[in-house]
Amino acid sequence: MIEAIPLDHVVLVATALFGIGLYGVLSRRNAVAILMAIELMLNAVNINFIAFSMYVSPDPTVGQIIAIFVITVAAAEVALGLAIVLQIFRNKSNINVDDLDLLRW
Amino acid sequence: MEREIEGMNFAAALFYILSGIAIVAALGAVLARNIVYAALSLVGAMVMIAGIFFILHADFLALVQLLIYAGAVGVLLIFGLMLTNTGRPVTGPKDLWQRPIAFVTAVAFMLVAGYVAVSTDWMQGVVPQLERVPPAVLANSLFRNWALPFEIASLVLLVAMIGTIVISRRETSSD
Repeated sequence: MIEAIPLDHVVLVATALFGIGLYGVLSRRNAVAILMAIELMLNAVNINFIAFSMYVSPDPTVGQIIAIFVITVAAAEVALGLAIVLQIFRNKSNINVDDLDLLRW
Repeated sequence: MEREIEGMNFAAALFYILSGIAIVAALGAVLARNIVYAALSLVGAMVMIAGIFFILHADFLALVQLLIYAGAVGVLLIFGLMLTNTGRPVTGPKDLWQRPIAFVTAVAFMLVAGYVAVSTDWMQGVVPQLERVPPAVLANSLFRNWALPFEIASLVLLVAMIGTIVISRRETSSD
């Protein structure tokens, strides 16, 4: 059923999504928006894992299981990241990452 | 046979449509001026990616994607936006010089990775086995071959949960 989709095209879609997420991480200044762009990049990686496990892996379950672990760690990451952002907001009333230079020498 | 070929074309067409919407939604999530629209756009991209997972024969992951990303993470991000809303935009004049650098970096990455993706012969000597993976097979593999990583993942989640509570707790004056 999916023979009609070449693996290249799936990888290209994942590349485009990862690149868009990369642009978001580098250009956004809102800490929550940066977390959102990171989630986008992790999703692009998951597409690649699933595509390669489907097309070229001898065991089609490995890529899916690694994608499950990626989702697990991403969920933990977004929860912790938002907790940290919230605490920064309480202390500085601002979540612009340019203003978070307390540790700058 | 005729129906089968039609089915193949249908899956492929659906894949390209979903990919197109996902990329547009991702652009919206990254470029939207209003941060709430960006979050909703991101949730839309996550739903489209769940559809791509389904087309790629990862049914279980498609459902997990819908539940965790489109559901839990989306709600969490919107809560985060709500709790950190000051009413004025976060972007200032300081970020202007970063935009071109970010654009050039992202485009350079996409060109290099896209070139690699197109020029590599991924399927060399490989017979693709494109059957659907039933959730039972996935579960067997997860709880037999991947039991230790599974337990470590549960530990990671526990630590993240406790850490989130400790970090986001309001400091009281009594302690």
